[in-house]
Amino acid sequence: MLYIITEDSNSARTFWDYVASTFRGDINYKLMPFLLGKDGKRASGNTTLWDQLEHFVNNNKDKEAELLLVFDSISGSTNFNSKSFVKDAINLCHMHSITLKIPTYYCFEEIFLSYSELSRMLVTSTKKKPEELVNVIEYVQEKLINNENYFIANKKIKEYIDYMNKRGVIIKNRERFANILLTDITNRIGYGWFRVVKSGNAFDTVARCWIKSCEEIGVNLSENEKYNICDNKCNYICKGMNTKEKLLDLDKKSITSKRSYGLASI
Amino acid sequence: MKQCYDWEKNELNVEDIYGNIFDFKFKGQKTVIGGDSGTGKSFLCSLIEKLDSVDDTDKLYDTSNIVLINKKNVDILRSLRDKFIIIDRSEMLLGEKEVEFINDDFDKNRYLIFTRKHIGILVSPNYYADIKNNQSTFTLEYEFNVKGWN
Repeated sequence: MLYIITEDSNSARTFWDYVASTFRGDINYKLMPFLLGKDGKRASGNTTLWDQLEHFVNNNKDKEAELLLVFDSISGSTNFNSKSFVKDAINLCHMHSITLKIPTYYCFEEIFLSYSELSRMLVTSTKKKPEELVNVIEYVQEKLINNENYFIANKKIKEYIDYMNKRGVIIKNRERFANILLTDITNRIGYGWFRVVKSGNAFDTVARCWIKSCEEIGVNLSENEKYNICDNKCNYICKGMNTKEKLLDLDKKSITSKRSYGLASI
Repeated sequence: MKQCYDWEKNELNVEDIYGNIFDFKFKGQKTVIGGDSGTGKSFLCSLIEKLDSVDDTDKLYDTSNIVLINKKNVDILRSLRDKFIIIDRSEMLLGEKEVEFINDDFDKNRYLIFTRKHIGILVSPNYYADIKNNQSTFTLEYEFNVKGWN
């Protein structure tokens, strides 16, 4: 059985929930609920990961348990040393014969940023080609595919940061950059619901076209909407496909195919 | 004159008069080194300080692209550009604002940060290293080398 622990209840949690449900089946995985804090409310955030992990390990009776630990970003934070955490987590799981899996991306957004269809979707969405944005995403994708850091002293990266700064969006680190860039690009896709945002249940709402089957999405649309939004306008390569087919395409054309744990092999 | 820190290669290579060699190969823009006392952290800092204080005519190493941050000069951090910045005992030297400045700096300088506890430098586990001493040759050992965490 696969168990999934996430930092918080953002889009990454929903995403991995869909992935596990699709490729493992609902009875073969469990999304672990958050623990309750001292105030009786659900506690989340990367500083709760160790408590979540310990709680899981101490209560686990499954001899074939596999645990997927999902970070928002592997860089840690002011109060969270990701290196110590990963090291300790590996040791703890090893001691209890639990197979530990940690996604091998820097931050969740990079799965979608590395998706090779993304720039085509962006270009075909608008009459005027957003030249600079296309240059940025192509540069980021090239770096990601080569397992290199793209958030470095590079003209394209700096120009994009300046461009966003002028619009009041401050970008100070790679996770924030990835988040802003992905939201910016997916917001410009001129059809369907592809807008990936960190907070909330994006894959059930504003980003549902990435994962939900087109048939399911279409159920809630009128014939007119279906024609205008989907049949007439949609240029997504997975148009008309189901969740599994969409995730397989993402898996095949993104960094997940080149890393230790692909989506399909979760 | 030899270059102590080679910017192109992202390597630090220096030898003292007793044959102690520091041969550090860095992987990225910021490297965090923890670990116990006596592993060579302060030794390296004092060696570079000595090399730096030698008169130009007698210098064996060019240390002009290296800045050692200490109690007296911590305020210059914000004014530095294109420098390899070494900070010993950063848990004592750096406050929240300095840590924030380093975290925000992704393109101006490079950093080698020695610390005895987590101070909030945002790097993936790939950029944490330990110093290994093998017969007076000090090298860096990285515990993690996960491709996607670069």
